[in-house]
Amino acid sequence: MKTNLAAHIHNLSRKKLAWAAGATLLILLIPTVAVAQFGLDPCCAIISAGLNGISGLLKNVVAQPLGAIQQMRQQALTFEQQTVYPLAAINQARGMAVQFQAQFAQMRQLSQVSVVSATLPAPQQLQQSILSRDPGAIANVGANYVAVYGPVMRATDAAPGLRDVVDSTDAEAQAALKKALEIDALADLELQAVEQMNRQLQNAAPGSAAMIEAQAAAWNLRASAYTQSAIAELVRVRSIDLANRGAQTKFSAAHAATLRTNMNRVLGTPQ
Amino acid sequence: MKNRLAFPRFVKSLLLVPALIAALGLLPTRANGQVGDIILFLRQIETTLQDGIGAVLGELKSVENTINTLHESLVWPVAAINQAKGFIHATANHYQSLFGQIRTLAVNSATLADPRSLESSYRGAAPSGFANIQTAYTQVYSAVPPAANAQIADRNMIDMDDASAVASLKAASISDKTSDATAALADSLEMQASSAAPGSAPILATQAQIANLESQAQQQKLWAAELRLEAARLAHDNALLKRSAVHKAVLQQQVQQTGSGPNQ
Repeated sequence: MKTNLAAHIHNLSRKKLAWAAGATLLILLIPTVAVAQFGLDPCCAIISAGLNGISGLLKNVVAQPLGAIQQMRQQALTFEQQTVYPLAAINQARGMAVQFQAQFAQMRQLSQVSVVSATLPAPQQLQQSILSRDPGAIANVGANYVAVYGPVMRATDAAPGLRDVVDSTDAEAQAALKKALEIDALADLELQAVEQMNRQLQNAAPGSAAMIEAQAAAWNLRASAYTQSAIAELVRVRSIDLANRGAQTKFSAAHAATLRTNMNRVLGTPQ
Repeated sequence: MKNRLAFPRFVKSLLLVPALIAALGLLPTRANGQVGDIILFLRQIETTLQDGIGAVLGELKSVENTINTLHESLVWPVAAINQAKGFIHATANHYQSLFGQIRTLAVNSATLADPRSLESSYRGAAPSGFANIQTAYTQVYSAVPPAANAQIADRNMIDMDDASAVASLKAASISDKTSDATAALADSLEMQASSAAPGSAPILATQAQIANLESQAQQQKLWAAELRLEAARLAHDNALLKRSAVHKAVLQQQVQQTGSGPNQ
């Protein structure tokens, strides 16, 4: 076998051997793909320089500003925690709401203490209905009022003009009593709302407190409107009172003129 | 035989040439292309880091810095916060003391024993002193006349007038008490404001709004009492007018009856 192989090699010409050796050398010199990417020096140097550049950029252009931003955020956080929203001050303000709760409840109870003082049955009934703070009692005010102050005179007892004035005056007096009843009931609702809002405030955050404040401001505005309507009713009562006095002066003047005419007739004096 | 054997060798030699060409075709042109791509890719990363991320981060840092400066120098400068606290503290101390002195000034003015007692009862503690108001009022303004001394209509009206007056005195007394309590709430809110922070101030402001609503409701109670008083006064005058008309009608009838007496 060995002899056959040696004989076979021997049989090859020198030229052929040279061909084969050249081909083998060429193949050996072929740079494989892997070596081309990682092994050869020029590539490695370029990649290394590029990566170093990127690393420098990451340090200077990215990491440094990010560090500065983090520092600024930290500074802002400390400022907000210590100066703008210190927890102690927030809790103190909440504590104040807890403290006020009892005061509000006490004031509400005080405003509901009975002030009824009448002693006779009819005035007692009238006063109970007008001080009841119950809007449902408005229906009783008319009858109770008449029981105390009497009805409008009969047509046979007074001139129509006088009856009109008396009826108008009674109407305004009753309306004022009814309005007072309404205002009392509205005030009671507001006092209830005060306690509810205050309870809510005890757990509020600086951000949500502004929302409760907006609600309280709306309630204040509404309360102003109710107060305004009470003052308007008061203006009407006083207007009717003035009109009543004016009407009485007019009636007196008319009576004086009639009396003068009658006296002249009786005495026979020319008019 | 030699020629016959030489032909296949020649063919073998010829076959080596394309094999060599094929091997050369697969040669390292590919390696050179990859290096170029890597350089390009690295340059792109550098550009992105420098111009894209770096520039944005630079702007972000600048904006963050501006916001911090805005908050610390313009919105919540510590000096201004401390100044406000100092101002609140100083004014609270100054005015609260003055208010306290003014509000505690006595306004009682009655000189005789009974009126003095009445006055001190309706300016005193509510509602514990309410029983005294009724007694002292009766002492000064007398009680409703007994049934034997006055008609029921008169007695009713007198009783209603008295009741309205006493009820209003009690309402005023309650109002004094709630007004004192509200003023005390205002004082403590103001003192609290002097140690507040910008972040806790909204809670105190809300508290003030709520207390203001309480005060509005108490004022409405007082307006309602004033309305009742005015209505009672109007009703009283009107009742007198009604009675006068009825009395006049009765008198007229009696005069007519007298005139058309036995002579006619």
